[in-house]
Amino acid sequence: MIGRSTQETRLGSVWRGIVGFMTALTAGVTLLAWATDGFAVLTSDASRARAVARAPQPIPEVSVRDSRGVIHDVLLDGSNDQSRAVIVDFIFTRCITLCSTLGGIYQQLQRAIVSQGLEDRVRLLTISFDVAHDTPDRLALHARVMGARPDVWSLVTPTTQAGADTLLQTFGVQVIADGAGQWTHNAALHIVTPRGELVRIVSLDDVPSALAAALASADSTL
Amino acid sequence: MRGVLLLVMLVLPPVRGWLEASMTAHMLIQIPLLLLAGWLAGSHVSRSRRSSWSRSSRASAWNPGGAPGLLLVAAIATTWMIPRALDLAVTSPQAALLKFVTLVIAGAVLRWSWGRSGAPGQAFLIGNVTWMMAVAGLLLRDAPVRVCTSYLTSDQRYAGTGLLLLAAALGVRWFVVWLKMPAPLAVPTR
Repeated sequence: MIGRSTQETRLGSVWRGIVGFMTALTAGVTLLAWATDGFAVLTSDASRARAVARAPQPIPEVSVRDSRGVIHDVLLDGSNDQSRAVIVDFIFTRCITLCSTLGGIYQQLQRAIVSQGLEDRVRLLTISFDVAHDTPDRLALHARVMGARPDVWSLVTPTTQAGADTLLQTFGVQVIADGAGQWTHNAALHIVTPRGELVRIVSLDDVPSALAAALASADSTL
Repeated sequence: MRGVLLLVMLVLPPVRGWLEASMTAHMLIQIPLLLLAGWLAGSHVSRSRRSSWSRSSRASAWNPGGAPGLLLVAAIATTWMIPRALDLAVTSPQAALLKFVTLVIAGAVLRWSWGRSGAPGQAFLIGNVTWMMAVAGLLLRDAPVRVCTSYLTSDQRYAGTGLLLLAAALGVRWFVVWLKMPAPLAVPTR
């Protein structure tokens, strides 16, 4: 009798051990899966790009002022031309670090668009989030410095801070002060369809993919 | 009691805001202090009850050799080194709550499991966590871009250096403990 009950207790304790182990394993794996979006990503940027690729995000209507001082909706380029895919990036013209890299990438994109004759299918849109500082004059100066062609590359600033915040949030751009009077922000190439949906987020170093994704989204709408 | 006090202090919005304003303080001060709060609170729980559940043999049957507990601690510690998890912890209240709760639990579970695990289990945890910290530290130091959208590149490099140093300190410290460990303790207790 005593022997059997000891045996039963041992058996029970083995089962408890297994249940304890499985519980810890399940909890740990669940937590890690949550943090990595199902073991797919390590960063918020990558997670955001995945989410957008799975489910396109409509871009809200936000009024912006372009480098000529004309006010229009963010995805209209002033000529009501809605047949082109848009590659969107975010900058502020006082930026001395990342934004100049972005400028260089946009120059590359502009050259590719012009040399391949894609002006009627893809355009570039640079949105400044520095609402107080980036007036039409400053945008125009930035456009001149960058050599932006008005038919390919437009630059705009939201008319209100709330508008800028809405756009930053929709595109998944986080802006933080760096303590030296500048801002730091995550930068990427955002592909928006002619219908106004954000469909892809491509990393900065992948210009060919950005152009290909933009062309694909322009074609799919035709 | 000390654990609860420490936790209350860490939850206070100004303290939380200050510790989460930089990646370095977030990873190297706040997260270790949350683990410590859990560790201290764990002792409070076991001392306040005469027949402590956590010390009873029935309870320990669920945590044989402390192995399930240490596995959970390793998973929780690893989770809060993932850049996306750190970003979420400062941008989403739900994620912030999850961080506080899981780290306090990890601290308490660590205390419950550490003593009963012996050298093999401790080596597993220390090896796992310090390895993760060292890899994360090296990646953070060398990353050409920011891995957290909430933190600056310079901060990221400091956090990387800090993680490397902490990993080295933890590894060396445990090795010294292990060398001094009497032979019977080098194996798990039942």
